[in-house]
Amino acid sequence: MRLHRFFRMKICVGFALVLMLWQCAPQLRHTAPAVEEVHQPEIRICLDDSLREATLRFDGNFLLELEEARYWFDETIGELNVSVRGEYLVIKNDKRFFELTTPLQVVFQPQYEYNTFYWNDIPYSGKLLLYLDKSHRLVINQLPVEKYLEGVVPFEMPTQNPEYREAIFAQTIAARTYAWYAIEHPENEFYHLFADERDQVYRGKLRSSPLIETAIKKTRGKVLALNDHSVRVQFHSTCGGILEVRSDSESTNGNPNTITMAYDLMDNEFNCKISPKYRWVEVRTAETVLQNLKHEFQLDSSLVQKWLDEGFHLTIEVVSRKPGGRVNQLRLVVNEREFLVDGYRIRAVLRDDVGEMLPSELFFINQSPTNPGKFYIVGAGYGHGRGMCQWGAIGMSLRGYNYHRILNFYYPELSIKTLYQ
Amino acid sequence: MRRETETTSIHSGQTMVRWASVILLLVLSSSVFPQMSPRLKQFLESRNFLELIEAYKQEKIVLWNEGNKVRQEKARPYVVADGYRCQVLATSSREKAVAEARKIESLKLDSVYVIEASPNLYKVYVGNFQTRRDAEIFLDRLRNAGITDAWITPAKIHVPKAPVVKAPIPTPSAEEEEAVGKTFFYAIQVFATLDSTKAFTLRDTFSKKFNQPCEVIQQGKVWKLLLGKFQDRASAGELLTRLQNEKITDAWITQVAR
Repeated sequence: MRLHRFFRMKICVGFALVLMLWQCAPQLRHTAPAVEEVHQPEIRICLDDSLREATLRFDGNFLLELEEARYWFDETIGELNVSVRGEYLVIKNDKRFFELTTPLQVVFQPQYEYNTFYWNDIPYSGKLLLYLDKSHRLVINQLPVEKYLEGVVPFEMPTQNPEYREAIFAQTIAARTYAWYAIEHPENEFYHLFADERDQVYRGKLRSSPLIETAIKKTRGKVLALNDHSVRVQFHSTCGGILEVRSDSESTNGNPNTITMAYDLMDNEFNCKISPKYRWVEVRTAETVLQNLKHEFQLDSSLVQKWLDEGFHLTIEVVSRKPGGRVNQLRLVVNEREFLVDGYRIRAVLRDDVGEMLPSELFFINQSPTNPGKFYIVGAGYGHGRGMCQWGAIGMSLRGYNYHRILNFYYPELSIKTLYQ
Repeated sequence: MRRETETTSIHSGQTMVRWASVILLLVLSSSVFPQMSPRLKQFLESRNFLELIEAYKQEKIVLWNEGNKVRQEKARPYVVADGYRCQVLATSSREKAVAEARKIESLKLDSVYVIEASPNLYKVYVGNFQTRRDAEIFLDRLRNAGITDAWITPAKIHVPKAPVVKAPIPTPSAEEEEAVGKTFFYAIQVFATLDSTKAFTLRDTFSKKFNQPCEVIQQGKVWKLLLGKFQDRASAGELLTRLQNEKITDAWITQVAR
């Protein structure tokens, strides 16, 4: 009995000891994880490649480490004005004043992942880098790829409709693939991508939706690969029913320039028919085209004014079309002076009066029967027509196809690969 | 490839005959471009675009822009021609010229113009007359309306492009002409100058040379040399012919208040 009591006392003391130790142990704080992520790469996005003046403010702690000291910035600092004055970078407001000599690289490092900086009132997460020397005035946002996608996908596709879910999943994977290729094939030492139409439009945390968060989370690390290698995928808004297929080097037997066409058709229905730019009609005048030519070819203003004053003939001729019907080359002749345009310039010389580009190269022209200076452009689609048609993906999503099927339809030669978990 | 085989059905069963009725639809819809009519939109969306291109493309068009000058000329309701106007005032004050023009405009007699003839010289003209006779008839109307010191001058006038049905200028009756004759006389305006000395110097010269009364009158800053004093236009015309024979070609007949 005594022995039993001894053991009982021992258990009680042991339990009390464990309880004491547990109480003394440091509590796990419910804070956000640190910024550094191990499994996913970081990407550098160029927000501005010719910095002159901007505003900057912070929500949360950011560290600026200079040679002489470390400085903390948070929301109490207020809005700072950032400007380049000759050889100096000036960051100032009524509380702080920094005049930094170029060349320099300044890094604002967030303490936590959720901390936000506002560059020209647009919220961004991740690091802010300012890089200035004689030939660069760069503003760069460095952040994990998954965070980057949160600022890209909402600007590539409408994200409010839950029925678009599978299309958004497909777009997320395509955008991640685009970023992966850029990271693996950097074109310069400073950044991987631009934040505008030159690459993918990226606007930080300006727009978000639960659907985007789900799409990024569910497809985390997934990319499209060609034989396990990164590939530069393309996508566009609306193909108008006709896709342009540029054969990849793997499948063209050494002829990468081969262009073929394919219909964007499933279940005997064009996938992007729901797009507002599926079909369109635009009106242009000879004068508008002449002004566009002046801008594109830097024509002498006095010569153009002479034509405008005294009158001119304008011949527009479609020289050649690609297999899918897209205009390959356009010939324009103004009073015996000839201009040959191809590629994006076709859409540029046919801009409207306010400078809006022609939606696509898939069009035909018709002269106005009543006005000798006016013509109609009847067209289809919006964008170059290569790779995934975003409205086509939405159309497929609405008809119940999942993102695997959508991606397989638009990128039949690519397969989905998981880069990181 | 899979996608290409799926599309072959698109081509089947399409005939060009089907398009014919739709060409009309396109042309008729042209007035509502670029906002497509629902019918045109439905038509375009129901067709494979490659077939639309084949059916309707105009691979070469020639446009013509007539130019701003022609456009402006066309937009004007008149053409410019040689003719006559009644000059009411010549002054160095723009404000004075504009005020006089407004006063005459309020009479609603004819078009009124303020023209800067030279720096600091503003002239107020009324009317557009293709013949001197029309101008003279109008001059009498001006005088009857109380504008007594107007005169006729050759000018570039505006002639309406489209034939405008204007109320005919009433020909003065015999009584009116007689009344006008009591109030006015005909003279030859030899020249107008800003230099009064020159006007008075030449007054005597002209008077002696043509054996006619000659007087200098002042209108604003302008001094005018008037030669002769006739009851009728025909007599004034004879003197004008003599002046023109003497190579004084800028002179003209004018009516002057007594």
